[in-house]
Amino acid sequence: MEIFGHMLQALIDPQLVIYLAVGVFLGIYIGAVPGLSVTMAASLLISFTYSWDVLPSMAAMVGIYIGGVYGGSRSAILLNIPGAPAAVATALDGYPLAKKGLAGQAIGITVVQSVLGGLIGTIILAVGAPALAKVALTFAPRDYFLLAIMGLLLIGSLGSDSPARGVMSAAIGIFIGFIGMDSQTGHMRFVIGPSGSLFRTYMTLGVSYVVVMIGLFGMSEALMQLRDLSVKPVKQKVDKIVPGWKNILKYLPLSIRTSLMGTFIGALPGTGGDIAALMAYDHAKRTTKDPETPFGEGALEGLVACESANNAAIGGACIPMLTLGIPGDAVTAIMLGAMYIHGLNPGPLLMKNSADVFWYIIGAMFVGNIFLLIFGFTGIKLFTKIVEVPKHILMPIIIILSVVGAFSINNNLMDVYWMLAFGVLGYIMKLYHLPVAPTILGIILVDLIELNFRRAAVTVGNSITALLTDLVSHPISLVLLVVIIGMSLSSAGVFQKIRAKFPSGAQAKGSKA
Amino acid sequence: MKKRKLEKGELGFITVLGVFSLICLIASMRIFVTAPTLNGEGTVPLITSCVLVVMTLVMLLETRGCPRGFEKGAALGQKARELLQFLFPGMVGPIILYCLVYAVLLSILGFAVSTLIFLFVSMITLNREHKVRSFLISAITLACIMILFQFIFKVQLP
Repeated sequence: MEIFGHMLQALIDPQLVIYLAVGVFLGIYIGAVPGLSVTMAASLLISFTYSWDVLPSMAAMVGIYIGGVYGGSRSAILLNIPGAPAAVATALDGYPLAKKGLAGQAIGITVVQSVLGGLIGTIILAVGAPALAKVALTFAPRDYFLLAIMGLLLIGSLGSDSPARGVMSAAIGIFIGFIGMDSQTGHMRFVIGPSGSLFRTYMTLGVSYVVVMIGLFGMSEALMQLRDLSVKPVKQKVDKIVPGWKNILKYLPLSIRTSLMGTFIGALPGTGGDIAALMAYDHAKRTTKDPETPFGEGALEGLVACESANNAAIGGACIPMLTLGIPGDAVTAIMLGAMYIHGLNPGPLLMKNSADVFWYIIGAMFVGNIFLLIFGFTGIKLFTKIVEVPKHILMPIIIILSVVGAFSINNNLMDVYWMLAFGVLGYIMKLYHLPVAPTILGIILVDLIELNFRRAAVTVGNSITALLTDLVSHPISLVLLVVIIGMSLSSAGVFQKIRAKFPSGAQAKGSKA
Repeated sequence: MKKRKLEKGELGFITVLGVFSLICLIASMRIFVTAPTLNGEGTVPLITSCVLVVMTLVMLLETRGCPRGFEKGAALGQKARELLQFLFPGMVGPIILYCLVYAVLLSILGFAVSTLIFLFVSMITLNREHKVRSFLISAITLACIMILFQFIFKVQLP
């Protein structure tokens, strides 16, 4: 009863309701503008909330977080520039929908799926936080390594009919991720340029994946669009924004599955909505038989999977933050900082010593998702007008937004130069059918892969045999390994070949008839 | 990969990727030999560069039997012209050039002036009509960006 009392505060305290609502509203629009990230908004908010009480500051933080993760999908759908890393997968099918004049429908679906995912993630947070935190803690470095390899296997399905091209693109991304000082030994890797030059100094610190993301998605898309200026902007249909019940129920099983995936992946420290969304997208692509529209060309299943997963990952990311004091992603790291500022001690004792804050955050996440459902449908008509702007006006503006977005990461002009270079690279990659999304995935996963591989190697005394034995002798590792082998065989089309060679009885009869 | 007609210069692009992969492999090996252990800083780069080399070979094998992008027996000069036309058709080349000039001007003239010039010149290059309207749109866009980023969200601009 006491727990419900704390949770209800999110709904009945007018001041907290206003802070939460304003947070969600601002989060949506901040997330929708390329260059303004949820992480940046949350870190700016910290400076405002120094003098606030704990609950109002938590209300605003939770609101910004929920709204921002959803907001990133708008620019992904309308401009092919993911407003947040979690929206990378959304662009894969959202932007093709906008090109067909269905941006309104796509945004409507993302709102509903984000809310569904957010609510499922919050329920799991409320019910199973302590238990899930324990499971997440049992993951050893080798398991994180296998998880990252699983993530990399998605590449076969991200936007190319050739798995080799996907793997190539991901390996390029991983290599970009290696650039700079090795975090464990301090050794410089793949750093070039004259000693003492700005270029070399920049490379020492490594290339930000947000810079690569803006270049490969936003800038390169603007250049692709310029190839044919005679194509008139598509008139967007905005009469059926709110998806019908039939539509929601049709995708409900997929939403539930990908929300569960999103929550679990979000709960693993060091992962986040971006990885959750990409894994969910892959899951949808593998499990959806005969989608109405092929994946990568505007499949609604692609939108459903990644949007439910990235918002569910919010609940997941809060699990280690609230129960162990370990941030699940960058935003929860900032929230953790805010909690320390307010004298709280996130971790196993939070539920005991500050139960009101713990349960209020969960309550705020429920109410925040309801606000998302309300505010998510605002401004859609205005936003969809962006796509209808003539190319000769829109494309230069996209380039400027890409420049501002790249610069705002570190306030460094070098980021702008790199973004432009990646823009041209992405443009050439697209021309030669090399998908760009796996490159982003590679850069995102590089730390997870390398750090955990090296940690796993250390734990077995740098012996390959011992490492392989380790992988098959632990239940979690074994399960992950079996999944990886299954995914590899499925990517290589082995199952299809076997099925073709040995058709089932019904199929065989059908073919004879 | 489904058999399709190769794009102009696609084989050349794969070759460039192959050269890049080999450079990565050599650079990774040089790092690996400094700490030749499983947890060394060169191990994962070495594995990744091997993957790059193997994938380049697979991509090359996949192009077997695909119709080539260039006409058979075309002269080198003609191939180069066709390649440039394929890579930078219409206004793509000029806009990439403007981007490079803009990147240089940013540090000299500052964000406001260089952005206004870039927007205006790009817009009239892409559509020569409505010069006054293009200038007004450029100025309004710049004002909106500055108000939103610099004054409301306090984001530093270049």
